[in-house]
Amino acid sequence: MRRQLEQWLSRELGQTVEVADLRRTSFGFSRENWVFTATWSGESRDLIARRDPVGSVLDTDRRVEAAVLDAVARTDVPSPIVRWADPEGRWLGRPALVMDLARGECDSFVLNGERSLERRVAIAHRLYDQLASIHLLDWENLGLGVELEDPGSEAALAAVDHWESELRRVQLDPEPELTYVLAWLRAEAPTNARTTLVHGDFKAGNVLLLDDDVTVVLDWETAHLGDPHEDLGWVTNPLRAGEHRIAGSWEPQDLLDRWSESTGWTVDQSSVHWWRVLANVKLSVIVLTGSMAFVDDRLDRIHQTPVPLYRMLLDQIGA
Amino acid sequence: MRPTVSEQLAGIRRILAEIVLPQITDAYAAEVTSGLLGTLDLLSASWVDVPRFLRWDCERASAVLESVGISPPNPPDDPLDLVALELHHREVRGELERAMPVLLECETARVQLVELFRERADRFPLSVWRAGGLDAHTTR
Repeated sequence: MRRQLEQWLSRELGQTVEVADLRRTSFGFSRENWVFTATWSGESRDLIARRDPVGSVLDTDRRVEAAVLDAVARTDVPSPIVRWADPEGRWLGRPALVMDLARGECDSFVLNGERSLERRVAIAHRLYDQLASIHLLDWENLGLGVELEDPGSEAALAAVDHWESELRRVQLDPEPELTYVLAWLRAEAPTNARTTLVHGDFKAGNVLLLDDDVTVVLDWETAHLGDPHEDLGWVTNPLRAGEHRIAGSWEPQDLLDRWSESTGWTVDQSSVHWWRVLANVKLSVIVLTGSMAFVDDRLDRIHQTPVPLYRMLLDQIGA
Repeated sequence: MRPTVSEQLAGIRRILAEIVLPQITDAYAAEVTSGLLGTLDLLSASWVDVPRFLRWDCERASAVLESVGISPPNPPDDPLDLVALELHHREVRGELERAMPVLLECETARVQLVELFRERADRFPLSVWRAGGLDAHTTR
């Protein structure tokens, strides 16, 4: 890996690059993250290579991720700086991106951590203001319509199509519970008033904090065009309350109210609810993708069938 | 048959935790090993419940299918043949999935189906998620 990185970076820069302190970090389920120091022109830089694993819980495209990151880098939304992209996997054997290693603390449960309540609420404000900023990006002028498909007002149905197709591709066993919920999703699918950039996996665990401020929003691999209510459903999913909610001080409604103030857009509560259901179908499919990859000897972690999620889905749809 | 399968699984878990894990210095390998320990905990405690669960699930799902006039696949001749039971379970659940349009049309069958889904969620023997939300391991 070290030698492959040196060859790749040397070719990109037209000079000899030395790679040191290369190590795979333990964080990240969907990509391999390798941090290292690269030295060229007498200067050392801390970098990170994100490489597709042999097996993952998510199958996404590094070319699309690089295009999104390039576009977002031209805005005020803090995002990772991509130095080089190899979507074909010519250098590291599998598709990869090399980015600057951003500084900051990554803590999925920072909102319920040891900081004072006042500080945690302030972090929540800064965190979810970034989500509103993402939704307000002018994706058309940023050129994102080239790489990303605009689903128009049918973002919900497009999402059901996508995740049902993923389910059928990865399921090892019949999953009638999910088939049942998918029928409900199709019958109740809302239309969306606008198309925005959707992050797709916004959470405290996908930002870095420095002095309680967001220094970078990470993990854009599932970013796409769609309904901003999708992200709102994701970040108010009761299953993930431990990550997104501060009981009594930062409730889902506080988040939605603040988002509405920031964007100037009205929140459609029934739409948020629908997207919460979709969020748990998506999580179920992600877990099943991990199960398939494990059985195929392509993943080092074992995922059990997400049956507790099925129970929550039945509650959510009032079955 | 000592050590029993449960005892062997628990023993492997102990050896990995006490002998192997402390020697692992690589962060990724240590995290993967910790995940394996969790799975060994689950298997040693719950694997004995799997055959009984599969049989129960097959019987209940077959009853739902019969309620709308669909003949379920025949169960294996040898009830102790776990491989045959797993195959039968897959067939019955597949039939349930294919029958969904019919089941959704019949309110009585739909109610039965949801009851089955809920009860099997309570009985599912290899469940790792805590009530009330995801933990740090699951959400990364």
